Amino acid sequence: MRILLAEDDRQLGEGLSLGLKELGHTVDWVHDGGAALQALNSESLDVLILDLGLPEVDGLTILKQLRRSERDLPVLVLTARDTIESRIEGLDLGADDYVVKPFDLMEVNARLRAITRRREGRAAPIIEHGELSLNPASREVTLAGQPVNLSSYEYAVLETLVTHAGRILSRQFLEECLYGWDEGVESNAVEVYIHHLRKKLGKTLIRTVRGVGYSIARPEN
Amino acid sequence: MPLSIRRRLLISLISAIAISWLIAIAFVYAAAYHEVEEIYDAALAQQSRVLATLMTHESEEELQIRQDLRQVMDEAGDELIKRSPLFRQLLKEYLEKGSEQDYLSLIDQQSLPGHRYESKIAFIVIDANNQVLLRSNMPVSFDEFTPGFSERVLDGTLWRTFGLVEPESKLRVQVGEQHAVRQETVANIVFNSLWPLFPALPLIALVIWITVGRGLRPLKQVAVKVERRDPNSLVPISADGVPHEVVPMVESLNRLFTRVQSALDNERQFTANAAHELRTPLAALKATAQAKQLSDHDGEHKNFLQQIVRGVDRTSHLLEQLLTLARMESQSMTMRHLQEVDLCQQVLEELSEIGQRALDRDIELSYEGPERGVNVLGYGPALQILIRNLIDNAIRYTPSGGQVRITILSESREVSLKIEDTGPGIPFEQMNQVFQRFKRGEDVKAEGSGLGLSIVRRILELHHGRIELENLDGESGLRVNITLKKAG
Repeated sequence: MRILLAEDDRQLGEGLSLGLKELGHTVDWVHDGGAALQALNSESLDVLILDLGLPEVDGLTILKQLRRSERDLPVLVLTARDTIESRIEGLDLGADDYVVKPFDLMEVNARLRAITRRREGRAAPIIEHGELSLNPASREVTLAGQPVNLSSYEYAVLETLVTHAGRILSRQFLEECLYGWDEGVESNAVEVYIHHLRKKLGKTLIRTVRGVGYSIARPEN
Repeated sequence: MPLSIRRRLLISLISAIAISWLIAIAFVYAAAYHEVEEIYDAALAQQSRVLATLMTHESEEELQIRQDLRQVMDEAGDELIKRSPLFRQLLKEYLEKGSEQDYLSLIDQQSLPGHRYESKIAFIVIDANNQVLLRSNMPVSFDEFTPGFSERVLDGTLWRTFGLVEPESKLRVQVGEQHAVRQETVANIVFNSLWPLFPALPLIALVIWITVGRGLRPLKQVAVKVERRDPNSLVPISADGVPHEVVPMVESLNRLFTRVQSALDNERQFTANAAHELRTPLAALKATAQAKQLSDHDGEHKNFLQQIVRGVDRTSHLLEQLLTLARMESQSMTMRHLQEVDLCQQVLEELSEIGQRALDRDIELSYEGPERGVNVLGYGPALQILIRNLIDNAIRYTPSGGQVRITILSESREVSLKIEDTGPGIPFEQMNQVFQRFKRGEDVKAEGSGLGLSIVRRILELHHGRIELENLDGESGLRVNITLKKAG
């Protein structure tokens, strides 16, 4: 995708644009707020990465102007302030998401994909996780290229775990996700589905944390 | 312990009063003694003069009588003897003997009504021929005549004597008085005039005690105000109703508070700014390293780049902890911040966030306790940091394949959060040091900022909570036990 990067710090801008280019994106890098506002006139942008502490015109002002112009451009904010107040301020003004410095390049990439997808109103075509791949449209799952047969409940549990990879999800959280698909879930239903998933996908993929819930590890890069 | 102002004032005032009284007594005693001496001396002189006059008169009379008698004898001579030889015999005896002490001396002083001091007075009258004409029955001797006033010791008692020589008759009169009489009189005068002072002393002490206590009350109120303050509060003390002697102290205390507050503000601001300023270069370093990792297709610099990324992550962690600590240090819990926080929900949330770190390292993680409904009164974000630091520590120090067990036990008034790991534990001698900043267990391989437990302790201070660290019995591992008061 085509990214406008508004970042005043030369080293950070350089590293970030280099990395994003490596990840297959096109990056336009501007160093100050004025240049950022000018560059926003270009129609072909997919997403804006905005540092809040820009010289000339600061990031929040740019955000305000952008939203006033009713331009539907996804914005990812880079912030050095991790206080909740400053995060909320950014989100209130129309940022789609934020990352706190120092961030992980992969995380930036993931969030960029997520917010542009959300903007376009389409689900991810294919969710990849290691050797596992899920197709939300057809609810088809393959493991190392081999199709795996899952019931719709099992699929729902798996998709929830994969999309929240790296987090331990409580049984209650998973149950609530299942309610979305169907009414009435039996009390030990989640355990049963996990048990089935382990049988079909291998014992090590889904891990249990006693007293807390279940999780799937983040995929390794 | 130094004396209280009250006690010190009491002691010094009472001693000052007592000393001035003693000096007054000495003066009174000296004055009284002098006066008594004069009076008694005058009386002594008077007495001897009276005695001398009387005795002179007496002896003149006697002389006259004797002359008359002699004349009678010469004139009536033989006739009288013839008529009464007994009378002549008596007359002759009388004239030859001269003065006879029998008829005047030895008044039995004891049997006569008089004064109690009398017994201590003695006298002697001697004529020119050294004949004793009259003497008191005191068992003392005044034989050695001394004219004028003098003092002498007789039989171990001190006497004051006055000697007088009647110029016409050459009679010598010596009157003495025991000295003790005077001392007794002086003591009586002094004692009688001053004794009412002594019962007054405790009364004065009581009045001083009460008055000083009352005078110090405003000072005490200031002390109580200072004492009851939240130790973290740097709000100035109100100077209302403070006596003006104490106002400078309150004011300088307040100036100190202000200075400390601004120093703290500066330090906090500096820490926050420094941490924020460091974030951008760190982000640049990490982004560049990760970009290089992506372009490093043949894996030539893989280890090198990974080291950089790990280094950045470590530094970032340290920064976060520094920032947190700076924020917590300056935070003082006021009612405004307090809210009911469900400790179980907080723990479960934290576990679901960072639990994966344990799973990634094959550490068996478990939680035991209620899922919800254990509320403590506290500051939500701070409690979250507390829980995260403790769980994070446990995971960090536990080797792969180990265990981290988290338990919440809700009791009637308190809730305890127990975190046990199978890490190396803390050597006994280092137990007290681990709460110090940048202090990390020695020989520890895990990475950490050394600030985690300082932050934990600070947050517990804010929540009036407790922390206990103990090594597990038998097996290797550490148990951290946090106790917080339940809400409501």
